[in-house]
Amino acid sequence: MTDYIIEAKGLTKRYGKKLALNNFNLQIPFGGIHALIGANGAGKSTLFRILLGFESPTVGETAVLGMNSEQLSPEMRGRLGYVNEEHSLPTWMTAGEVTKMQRNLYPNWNQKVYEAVLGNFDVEPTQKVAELSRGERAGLNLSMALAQSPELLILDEPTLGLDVVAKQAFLEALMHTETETNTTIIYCSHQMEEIERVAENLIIIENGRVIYTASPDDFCERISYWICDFDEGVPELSSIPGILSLKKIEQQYHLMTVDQQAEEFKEYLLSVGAENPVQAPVNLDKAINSVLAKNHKSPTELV
Amino acid sequence: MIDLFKSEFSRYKYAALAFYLVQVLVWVLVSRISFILSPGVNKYLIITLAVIIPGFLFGVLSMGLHSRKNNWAYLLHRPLSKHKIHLALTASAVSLLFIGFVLPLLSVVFALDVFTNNVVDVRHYLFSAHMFALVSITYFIGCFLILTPSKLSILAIWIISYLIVPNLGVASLDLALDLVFATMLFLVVRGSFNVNIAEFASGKMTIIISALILQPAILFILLISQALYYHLPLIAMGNHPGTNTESDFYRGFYNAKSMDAFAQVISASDYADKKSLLRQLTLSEFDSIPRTSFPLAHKGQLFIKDSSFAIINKTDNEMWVFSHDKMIFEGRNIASGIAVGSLTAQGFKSLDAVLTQADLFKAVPLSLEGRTIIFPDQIYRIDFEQQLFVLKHQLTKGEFYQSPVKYAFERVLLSTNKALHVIDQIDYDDPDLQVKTENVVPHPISTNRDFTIELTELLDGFLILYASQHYHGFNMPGAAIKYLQHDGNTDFLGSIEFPDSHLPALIEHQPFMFSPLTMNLVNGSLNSVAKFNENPPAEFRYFWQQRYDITVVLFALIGSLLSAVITFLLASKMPLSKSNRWTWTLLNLLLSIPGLVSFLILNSQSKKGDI
Repeated sequence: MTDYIIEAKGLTKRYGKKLALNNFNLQIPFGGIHALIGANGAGKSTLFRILLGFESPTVGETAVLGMNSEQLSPEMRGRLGYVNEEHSLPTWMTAGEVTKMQRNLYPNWNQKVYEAVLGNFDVEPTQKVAELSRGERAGLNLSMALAQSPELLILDEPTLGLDVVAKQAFLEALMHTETETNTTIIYCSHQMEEIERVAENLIIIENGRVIYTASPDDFCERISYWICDFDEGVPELSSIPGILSLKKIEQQYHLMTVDQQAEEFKEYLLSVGAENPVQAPVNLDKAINSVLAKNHKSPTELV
Repeated sequence: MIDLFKSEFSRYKYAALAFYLVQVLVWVLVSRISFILSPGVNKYLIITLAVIIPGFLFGVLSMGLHSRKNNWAYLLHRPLSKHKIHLALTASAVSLLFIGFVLPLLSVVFALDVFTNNVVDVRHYLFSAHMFALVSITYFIGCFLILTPSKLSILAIWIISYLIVPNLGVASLDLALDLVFATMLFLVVRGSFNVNIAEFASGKMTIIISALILQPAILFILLISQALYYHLPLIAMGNHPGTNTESDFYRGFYNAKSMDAFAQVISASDYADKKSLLRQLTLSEFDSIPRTSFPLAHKGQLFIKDSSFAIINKTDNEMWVFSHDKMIFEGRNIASGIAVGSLTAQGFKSLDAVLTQADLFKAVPLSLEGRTIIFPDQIYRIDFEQQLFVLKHQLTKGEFYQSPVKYAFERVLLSTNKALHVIDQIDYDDPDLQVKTENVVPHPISTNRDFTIELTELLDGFLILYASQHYHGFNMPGAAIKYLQHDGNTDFLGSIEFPDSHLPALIEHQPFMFSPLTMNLVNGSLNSVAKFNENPPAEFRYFWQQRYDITVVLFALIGSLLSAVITFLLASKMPLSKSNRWTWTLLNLLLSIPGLVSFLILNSQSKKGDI
């Protein structure tokens, strides 16, 4: 288990009757920014907690940096950064005190990175953490996490609740660091414009399983968006090949499909009575939404 | 680790300081209207509650805040071992609790010592150490509650009830017990402090200590549940054996009228003149020696454990307090606080007198009753007006008083560990006279069997009735009568026994049946010998020395075996390692049913969460 920075094998996590992860398998190579995408309750946070050893899997095992997650040593934890959506920090301390504490704790502390990243935010060392805005707190947290020079940085919805400006600063800081330090970053977010901007690899999970892994471009290429009319009635949904969603908007039908050749699908549409079928461009947001919507009902079909 | 300590400390430092200032203010005010260095259950309870409640709440609050998912991740996900993290949190917590809840009292005691004439001994300072231990222990219990999967781990709170019950031993014994429990709880919290908070500790020592600290409370709950399925239904039907007044049972004998009890023993005796005695009984009056016996006072015992601490001379508004460090009484004016002299074994001494070894009392007083001072083997009478200090009564070597002075039948009765001393009341009340015992009646059984003494006066003497649940041995109740005649002769009239109990054996001996080991922990050597400094007869001390019906023993054995088997079967279905499965199984073979219950409590999450 050393070829991948993260590896999960046959991971199942059950909370009473609820199945949070269901035979979850994942391999993430070293380097790059990997976006973990999924609806609420898909199992993303559970996966992170298991990866960091805060929870035990019901079945299966995970390894981070080649070490079993349940046996992560303090030294290994020093090589793993983790930023949660709350940006948990000691609110009673000043930014300077918190930074000093972290600096003493991490032997590979990179003050240059810290200052460069924090420079994107308006944080004074004398300010108490409790007095920082959510964006400033996120910035402080990210700068410390990156200054620790982690080999792997897990960001669990780090921009949740941030305003546009703070989000912008956060993403710029993140991209700057990834290129500078070669840290592998696992980025979890519901914000597709962020994902589109930073991620090199998408990992889409639904109902506790990985349903798709690809680069954003490859993923978008597999999704097609068609607009047409059906004067003689819409065909049976299940008979439409690769259908993800079908919506009627202003007397026109909008279809999202996966893994369909344009010419072949156009011929199919014409054969079932569609008039004027037109393929429209598809963006990542739309593509992911259609996949998640489809798999919300039958998650196993695309695997 | 130091940084984490500082961080945690700075989190609550202002709260600790505020508590310190408020408490100091309260203690200063209290010391102006009351004697805070005096004992007394109410005062002691207030002092104790003022540390145990904050300790527990702080444990729950601080660990509870850390245990929130994201906070826990922030705390534990750092290049520091979990033991170091835990140590940093603990060190900061106990430091804060010390400042907020122990230092105030310590400061006030120090101020009283340095700036006033109050008697302040080393034991007063040691009390602060006891309080520090209590606040730390309750903090650990609070943390244990948060860190274990089941909230029923709150049952560990029984430890507090055990430690706050006045212990009559020396301070070092109190502090040793505190240290034992504090260490156990520190270790169990340390073992429960896991990265995966939902997981119960896997360390064997943690498993064993966690189970042990829950045992007494679980046993207690199992025992009181007896009321639901036995006592209450029978009481409701009016059929409860406790209401049985038949004299065949000790219960009936114990609850019978004194005259009937005396008559029952006399009737069963071979005494030649028993008819005459029985006739006289109908016209007699009865009295008893107080059952409350003196605790053994020890030099250096924690001051709140003193049975009494001072004599007040109301005429001159003086207070005379016994100093354990100096072994004399020191007097001071209550209003002015000015020292007025000392009271030594040689009588009153002025402030400038040079004291010699002969002036020092050899023991700590057991009781200060009005003008009477009772030491373990001497009784003194004090007269402030005449400045007299008279030795009223003296025991021989190895004998010591066990109960307060009893006036009855124009006599003074003194019960010791060996005999009943009967003294003429007129002589005793003579302020200048050292009295001698008129009659000494040796007890027919050892006093450590907790018996009662009742007396009645007849024409020619006194009948003395002794009764005990253990008169003839462990759980072999009985009673006996001695006849002390006025001419000094003493006859043993005879004894009776009660072979049958009013309760079925399976109800009466449930503590043993449920768990011989835990029963012994609660009622046996640890409690009686170590905690209360009593000395139960050797044959009662450990459960294997006590005699039970074979049925009871069999039930106890079956309970142990069944607990072990059930534990093993349940553990096989839980995500426990093989060695921990066997640890639990063997542990519950020893602890029996309460052990099984503790297993279920401590592993409840494993069953539910991980399938």
